[in-house]
Amino acid sequence: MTQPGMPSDRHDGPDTTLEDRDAPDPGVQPGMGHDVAVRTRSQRQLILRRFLQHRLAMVSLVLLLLLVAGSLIGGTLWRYDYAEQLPAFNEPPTWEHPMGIDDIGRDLFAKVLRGAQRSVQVALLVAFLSTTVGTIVGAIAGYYRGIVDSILMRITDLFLVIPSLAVFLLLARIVGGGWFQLALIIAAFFWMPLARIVRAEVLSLREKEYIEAARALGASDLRIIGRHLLPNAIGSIIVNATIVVAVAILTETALSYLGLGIAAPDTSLGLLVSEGQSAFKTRPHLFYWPGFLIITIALTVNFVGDGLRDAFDPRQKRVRQ
Amino acid sequence: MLGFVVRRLIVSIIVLFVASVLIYFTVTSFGDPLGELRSRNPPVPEHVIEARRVAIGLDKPAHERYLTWASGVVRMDFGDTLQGQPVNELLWRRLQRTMRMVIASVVLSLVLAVGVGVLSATRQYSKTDYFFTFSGFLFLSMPVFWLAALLKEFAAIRVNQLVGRRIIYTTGSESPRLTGDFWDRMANYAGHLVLPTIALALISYAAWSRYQRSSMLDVMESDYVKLARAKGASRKRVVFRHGLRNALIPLTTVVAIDFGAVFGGAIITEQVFGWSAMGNLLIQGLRDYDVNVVLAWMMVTGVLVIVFNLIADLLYGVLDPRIRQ
Amino acid sequence: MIGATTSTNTDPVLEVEDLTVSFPTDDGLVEAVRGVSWSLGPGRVLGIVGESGSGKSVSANALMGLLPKNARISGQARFNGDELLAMSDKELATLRGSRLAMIFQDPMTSLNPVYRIGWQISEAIRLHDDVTKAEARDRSIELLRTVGIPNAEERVDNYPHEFSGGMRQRVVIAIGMANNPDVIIADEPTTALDVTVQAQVLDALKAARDATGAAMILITHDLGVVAGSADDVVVMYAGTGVEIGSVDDIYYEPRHPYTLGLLGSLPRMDQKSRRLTPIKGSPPSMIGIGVKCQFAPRCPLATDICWQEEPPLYPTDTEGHVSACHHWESLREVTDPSQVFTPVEIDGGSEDEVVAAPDPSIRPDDEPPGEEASS
Repeated sequence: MTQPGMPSDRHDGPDTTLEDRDAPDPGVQPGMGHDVAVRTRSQRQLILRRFLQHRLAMVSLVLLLLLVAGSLIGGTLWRYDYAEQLPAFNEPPTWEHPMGIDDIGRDLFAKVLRGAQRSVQVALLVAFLSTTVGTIVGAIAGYYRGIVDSILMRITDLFLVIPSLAVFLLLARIVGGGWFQLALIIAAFFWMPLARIVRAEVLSLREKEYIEAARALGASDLRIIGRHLLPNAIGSIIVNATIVVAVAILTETALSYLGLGIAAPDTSLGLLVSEGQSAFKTRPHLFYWPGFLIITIALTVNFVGDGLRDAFDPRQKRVRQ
Repeated sequence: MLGFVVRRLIVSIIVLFVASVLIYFTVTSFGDPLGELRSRNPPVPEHVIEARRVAIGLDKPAHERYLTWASGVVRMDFGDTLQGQPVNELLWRRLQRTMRMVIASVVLSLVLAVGVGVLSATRQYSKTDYFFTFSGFLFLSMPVFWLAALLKEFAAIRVNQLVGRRIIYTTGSESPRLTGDFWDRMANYAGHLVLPTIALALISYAAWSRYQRSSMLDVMESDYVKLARAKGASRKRVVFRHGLRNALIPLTTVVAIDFGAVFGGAIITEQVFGWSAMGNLLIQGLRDYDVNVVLAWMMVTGVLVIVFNLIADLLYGVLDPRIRQ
Repeated sequence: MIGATTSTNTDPVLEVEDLTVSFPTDDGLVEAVRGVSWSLGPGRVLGIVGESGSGKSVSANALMGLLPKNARISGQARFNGDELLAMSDKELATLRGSRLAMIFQDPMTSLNPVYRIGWQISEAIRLHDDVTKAEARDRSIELLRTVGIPNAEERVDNYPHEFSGGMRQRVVIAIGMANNPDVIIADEPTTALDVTVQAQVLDALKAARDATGAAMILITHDLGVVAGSADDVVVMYAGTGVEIGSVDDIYYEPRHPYTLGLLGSLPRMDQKSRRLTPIKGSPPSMIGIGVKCQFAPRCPLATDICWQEEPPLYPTDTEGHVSACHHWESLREVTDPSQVFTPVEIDGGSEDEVVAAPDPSIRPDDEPPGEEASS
């Protein structure tokens, strides 16, 4: 996808072809005559095993968890608070203040930690909200069709025509500079591609015979959706969620960079890059470090997502040369 | 197929109209152009504020203002800015500049994406493949503004030093008071275009090249490619005439969908490089809560996206005969 | 010379000796073809019969050089005296489409959807012959007529999606015969088609043979197709040939239990109603295949020797008729498959149920009962 746009589900085309995952495993063979022990592997274990074997994804996952944890609690652990007024101004980096002190007396390392915290919070919140809403709406649209489906399709059409960044800028301008509001705005549009993906999955699965069988057995709609349809879509949902985290952080930082996202007195990695750019000659590290953080978080998330995608749907057997 | 395209066009226009209503009422309901005046210290006298209010036309109800605006748009008149300047005047020159960047970056992106996609697919699992896959991921994870800023602060100076004179510019879309013949002007434009285009292109190329690689791999596995080989066609012929020719088809759709995102990215690169173009217009309009400016931006961009999508649809019909009935 | 007899005095146009193909994968080495040998005389039709996974398609693709790069191929394959397996891709490319042609299984995907069929046939011609576009186009129309496409002058400008499956397959045959090849390899040409359409395609194949004088290799799992079209038959199982002979020998005097079982699984309209005798079990995984007769786990005639030694191709009563079965002689007295295989019960299941093929990556050791684990 080209950021800062919405995560585009169409880009998942050739990569994700999800087949019917409900086929039961053969398990132990009847009537074989001799004693055989066949290991039964559930679908879940197979997927987990494939993911764990993906070295790049594992390394990325570890790195990502460290970064996220560090961002979320780093600020509280560091000895200085980002808003704390220090008696010095404009100091270069020292051991005491690894990134120096800015011209209004704040510890810059603390600011970077704070920026990381806010950006990560926004990204995680956006991912959570948009995934939840997207899954629910997509499932309803795909299963019941009708008015929910029509509305969903029309709304998503709307945002194909107007660049999403522009809409974000507009809403951010109106709503102000709080991180929570910003997350809501971004989530308000990021749920749509996932809804379309879930809708497509549900549409293709609802006609299958085992769904009819479940209905004949008296299963309620909720049970059918929850136990039969959604578990098959879980692969897409999880992969999409990781993409959302990456695009969300890129979107939020872009808005903040332009001055219409998280604003002073709070800070974000995007805002820090902007400030760092102004001070490029004297304090290039202020430009580089927030940027590296953004890149690393997005990159590791993307690798994890790729590993997950491979785990859920290995396209071809890796052949050795 | 023509019917399909026409229907999509009509739907797009309706969507654009609906969007205009939504955006108009959002901006006017939540954005107060007089907010800045009201919050000044020492406070501005009430009658001055009121006079200003009437001057802008805020005394009329919202739907009436919308209709005035809409009737203007139909005549291609986007109204006046808050400062009284006709929006049209501002629009066209800025639009030209933005279009230069958008078109240049889409072209560059496409060339890179197809090239890298084909290369990666034909050398699957090789070092080349891994390099491009990794760098693709890297650019996908890179903020446009950071890359643009990096190019601006870093690359320009180095290249100019290397060459010995200033060929790459970092501010604006062209040098002010530019004189000279056509080629001088083109060179100047190009010098200003290089960095923003690269920044914008590298990000979209990354997504498209991954897609192209995947599409290419799919196509190369197909039976008709195998048949082409069984006919005795050379590897090169098979890859390009049979493989790529088919692999390009889905790319058309992908690129069409991403047009909006390219315009969004352009806003950012324009800000970084200080271009006086559409992006700047939008941001200024948002800062002032100038509804005519904001809407003009939205409508013009929307129309452009629709036009590009139309071209992509037609191109798809050319590339894929199956669609033509 | 192992395999089918040639009824003419000329040398075989294609002679395969101990062809072996294996693929390294993450799960292990897949031995897709484990030493198959046969020969094809000029103008003759050789049917290669087997289940999915028997290696029949892989062996054909190996001859054409169309296997993936990581395939390990050994053995010999002499085409008019030249060793195919030693040729570079460039050298093979000059043969492909001109002297050696191939037809694939699925006509819906064999043709490039974005080019007109006239263009695709002309491409085959112009890749090997220096003719003008107009000449190639004329020849294409002629070829379409030969394979039975009506209204050829108009249809030559159509796209593949404007043709039905059967007609697309005929276009593919036209492409295959375009340069009067010496050998046409038809890899399951009728498998993806309805029975009524199959006859049309087989007719088109015959027309192609008649027009070009080419020999043909007909790969299929359908014994009915082979009976009608082939002169000689190779029955493949688990990557190797288990019985080779003329079509009459194979059908009327089978000397391998697998062949017998195949014949017994075939519903026949020309016989009194009888119970079908399916072969229980399924073909083995081609990874880590042990040393034994590979059919033993499913064979009612299997004894100890069958579990220890892979049988060579024993010559049988007729010349050119060979069978890879230690007990082939006992099949002399067998007149009906139900004498060897248990017929299917109509009511209820029999004691040994036919089981579904398990996931090959979690394969149990197929040891005979009571033996220590070996190999």
